[in-house]
Amino acid sequence: MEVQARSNYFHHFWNSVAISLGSTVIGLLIAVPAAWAMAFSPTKRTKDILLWMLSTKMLPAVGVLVPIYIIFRDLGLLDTRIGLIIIMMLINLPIMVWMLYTYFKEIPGEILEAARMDGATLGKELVYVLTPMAIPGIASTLLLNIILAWNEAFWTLNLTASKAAPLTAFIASYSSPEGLFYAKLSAASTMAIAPIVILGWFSQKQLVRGLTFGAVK
Amino acid sequence: MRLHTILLGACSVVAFTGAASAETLTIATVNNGDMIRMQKLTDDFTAQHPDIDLEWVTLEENVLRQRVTTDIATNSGQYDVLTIGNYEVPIWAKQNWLLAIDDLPADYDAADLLPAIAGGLSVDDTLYAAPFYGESAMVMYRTDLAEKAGVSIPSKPKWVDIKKAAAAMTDKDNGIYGICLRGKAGWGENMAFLGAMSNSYGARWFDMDWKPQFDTPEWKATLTDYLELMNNYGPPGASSNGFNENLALFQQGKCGMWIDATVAASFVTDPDESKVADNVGFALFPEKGDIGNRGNWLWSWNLAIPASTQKADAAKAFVAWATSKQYTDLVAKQDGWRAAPPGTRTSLYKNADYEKAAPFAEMTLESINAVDTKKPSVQEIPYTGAQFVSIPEFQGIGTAVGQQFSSALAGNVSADQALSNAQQLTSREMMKAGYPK
Repeated sequence: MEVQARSNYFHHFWNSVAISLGSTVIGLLIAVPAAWAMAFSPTKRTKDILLWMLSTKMLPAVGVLVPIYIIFRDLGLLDTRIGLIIIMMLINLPIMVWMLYTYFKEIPGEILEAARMDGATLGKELVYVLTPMAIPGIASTLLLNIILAWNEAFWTLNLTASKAAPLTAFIASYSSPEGLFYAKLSAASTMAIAPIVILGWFSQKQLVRGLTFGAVK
Repeated sequence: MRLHTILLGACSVVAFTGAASAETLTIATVNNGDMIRMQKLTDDFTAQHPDIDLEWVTLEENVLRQRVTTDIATNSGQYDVLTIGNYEVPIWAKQNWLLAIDDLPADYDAADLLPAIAGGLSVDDTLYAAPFYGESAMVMYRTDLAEKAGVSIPSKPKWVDIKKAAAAMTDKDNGIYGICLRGKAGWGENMAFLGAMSNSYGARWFDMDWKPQFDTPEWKATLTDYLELMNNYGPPGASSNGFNENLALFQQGKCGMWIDATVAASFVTDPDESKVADNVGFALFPEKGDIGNRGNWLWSWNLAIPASTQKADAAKAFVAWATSKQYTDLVAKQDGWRAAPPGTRTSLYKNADYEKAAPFAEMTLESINAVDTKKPSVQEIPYTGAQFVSIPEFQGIGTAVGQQFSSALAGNVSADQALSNAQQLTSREMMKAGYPK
């Protein structure tokens, strides 16, 4: 009750929902065609591109904080949901492409060729043939990225003030070096992780299926 | 005529819209009891200023520091009022990142601010932040344990008195430790205490050529005595104890003495939180021999206005309200005098109701008044400060040195090795930063 009285939980909650869902959906729209191209029409540079994408995760986030902060300031994206959706989508995109690439590689190319023989266009091939077959993989990628975006605390704390602050900022407001507020901090943390824990509980079947897809030949 | 009417109408609409839309101030603040109370009492401010809305960003101290530093250094202007410490104020003021707090209302009474606190927030005699609450450090001890052990702690103790009392009060079989001190690494954790202790031992961080001084006898005596106290009379695992951990230990009756921030006095004497609330005595920060320096620990949380704000007038109105005498009265009316923000105004310590409600008031005032931020060490120094050195590089250096000393407390390195490592790393960092400047 005290936590709710001091902070507007639902304001932070809706920001978290918008940021994690928005970044994941936009990320999937980019990652699915990218992974398709890499899995079914690879070039000699595909492996290098995949490695380069992964290498962007190797740089500590704080190393690019000031340039990104200045870009966001100049574009008017500081403390906006759209700004956070963009940054969350960008930081999770390499993982999404990698995961989807791995799943797509498990799908026999002959099935797509058969679809093409039957006159399917590229779009139809993606939507009606590839996507249904890769549903477990896409679902687990989606869920994992929602969780990653929901829990991300560096960018969400640094690029927001009040309007777009998600639940990570809500938890951070209960941490204090002078004074013991463990009960409130625990209450705030439970409220912040509850939605994602519930989502994970209901979707664990899909998640496990997707993550172990192709593990045993 | 028709065009004239349309223009007049348009002007009226614009004027009405401007008057109707309230200005929104975004206030960045730390999460502590006094600041949260301020947040709850802001209805009083908005009632006086219906044209100003307030939005709060409350964060933990280190997160807030990182957040507002990024914002102010890039001139982004996301915040209109910042809560910052007296470490940042002079550094940021010299960078022209803060607006001067100069044209406050007549009833603000800036002359009432405690000189030591106001001095730490001024550059060239101009105030760049208004203090919200202030603290020094003092000894908090268990009067019942001292009596049982047959020792007395003078109100102006020396380190030998502390050592003697710690030895007498320690009863490890029953989980009582004579002394609890900060051991967790960090410039605001163990180095706040060790910085003040070193000041009282006559040590200094740098000589006049900005050469680090960890190879001097004063620093060796500081660290050796600290380790001896903690290893013989301190609680186990002290290298991970900061303010909060020691507060919990003291409140549970595990510590004979605790030397830390004066703000802790209100927590350890609160019967709702502390098992030992009725048995707490207070004394000034200890001094060493005849050196004549009681640590010079001074910290204040202050409200400052970034130069990047577009709402300077509204921000000044808020700062004036939150740090005024009227605000103190409001807190006293709502939550009692004990809850009044301490350590900023002389008038608070002349208030009989406050003196009665807060038994630690006199010692807090005496501790703060004993501080000289212009000369924290008795030796000649090229810097100002208190338990810290007022240079931007100090955060990094202080934390790295704190890690060495925390490691010595954990028994991983010797005192000599920790001092030698501290000397090396500080020399390297200062050279990289281009000192002497």
